[in-house]
Amino acid sequence: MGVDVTVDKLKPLPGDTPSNAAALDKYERDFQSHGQVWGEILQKNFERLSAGSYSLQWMNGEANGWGSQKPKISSRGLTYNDINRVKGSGEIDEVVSWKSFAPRGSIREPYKNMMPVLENYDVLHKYDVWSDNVMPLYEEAVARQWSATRDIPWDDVNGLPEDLAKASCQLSTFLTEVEFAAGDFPAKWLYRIPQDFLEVKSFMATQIMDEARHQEVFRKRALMGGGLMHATPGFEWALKSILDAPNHVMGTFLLNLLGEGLVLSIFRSGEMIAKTHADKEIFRLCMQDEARHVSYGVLQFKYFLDNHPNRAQAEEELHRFADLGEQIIMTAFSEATVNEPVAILLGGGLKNIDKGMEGLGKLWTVFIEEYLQRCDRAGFDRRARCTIPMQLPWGGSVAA
Amino acid sequence: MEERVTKHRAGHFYIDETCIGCGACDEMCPGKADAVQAIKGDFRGRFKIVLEDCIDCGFCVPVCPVDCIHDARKEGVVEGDGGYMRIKELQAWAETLTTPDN
Repeated sequence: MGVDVTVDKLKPLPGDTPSNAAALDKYERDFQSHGQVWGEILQKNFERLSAGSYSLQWMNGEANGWGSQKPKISSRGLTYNDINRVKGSGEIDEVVSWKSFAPRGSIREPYKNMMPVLENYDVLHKYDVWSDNVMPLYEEAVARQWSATRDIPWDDVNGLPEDLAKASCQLSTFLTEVEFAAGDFPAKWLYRIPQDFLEVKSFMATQIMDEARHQEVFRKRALMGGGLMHATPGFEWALKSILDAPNHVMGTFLLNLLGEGLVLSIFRSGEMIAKTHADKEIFRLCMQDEARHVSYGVLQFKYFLDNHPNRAQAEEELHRFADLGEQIIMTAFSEATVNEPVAILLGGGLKNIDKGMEGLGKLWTVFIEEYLQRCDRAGFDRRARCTIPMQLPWGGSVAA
Repeated sequence: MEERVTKHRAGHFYIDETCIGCGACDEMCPGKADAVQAIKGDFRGRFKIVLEDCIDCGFCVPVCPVDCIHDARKEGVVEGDGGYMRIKELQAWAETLTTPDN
């Protein structure tokens, strides 16, 4: 045999096959620990079925006034606003006590002791999640979905000179990175918000869908333009900081009000940044989605402050958080992988990067002022304490 | 199909140029009035109120995240201010640029 076998060429033995046995053991133990409830449900139903009788107890709807009040269909259709005019099911408690899947407005009280309790549902105060525009924003989100596959003239992205092509791909890579976290944040909190806040959960589900489409469209944009480019450590830390925020309101402030606000400012300048019709279309379509997320964030923040039992304390804690949040965003934005491609695109080419930085300085001022205006709208006076300079921190132009 | 509301006087609410285009006001506008409409061809996706259709219900005002909807009877000023205006400065700057090859 002429096979050249030496010890250093031997492959290691395969490791242990990953096993789910431990997790399954725990699942079985959990199931058995609730054996009495499972047994009671099964025994009661089995006895009734064996006796050939029907319960029909579920047909008694008096407890919640079944049939006494139906929602009125508005000329827009049947919206959440319309159905929430029905007493009982449309009333949202300030503090939720139900930690199950039983729908708000259903007859659930008689079954309370037989229900499982989902301890993950721990965001129980309405002021932690609600905003006065969450229902119309959900309707709007449903009405304005679009497709990254069909709605972008993809053939149009070719033909750019190399500097603009690379800048577009770098910006798209950065935006893909951002959109991942922007989807993970609502996804992380979705399972902590109880079902009685179903309108908020519905809106968050649309935000997750929006962000999925955004990462899809920017990934496609980068690949159509030549390929994905560099990841951005500074923004990685910022994105992690959003996910690690101490509570939902603070995370929403950092993501929807500050972070997405920055992205919205970039998209609103898309007419100047985009160098192809396809890019303009991408910015335009993403912008309307981001506007909803920013819109929810601002009024959620406002609702929180307006309804918190100790506003002064809440505001002070939020100021402490904003002190960090602003530095997080500024540090992230200082990354060359973010500001240089934007400057090249704004300037119209690598040789105009200084000119582009000048434009970026103007965009920066827009961003900070819009951020402060959003804080004003939420009733959070940040102007005196804002830690981000109104002017671009590294000056209007940088030597290339 | 229901008929649109017919009115004999124009409404008074207007949206200034600081609108970010989230569309919450559009959804709050009573369907029969349908006075809030996307501005055709506006890159930033902003909305406007068609005064002839506005019934002055004001439902759109509290849901706006940037306070860009105003009652002209109270304010009478069709101008925004602050950063949203500065986008114009950025646009004006962009217009001074020549083509990418220059």
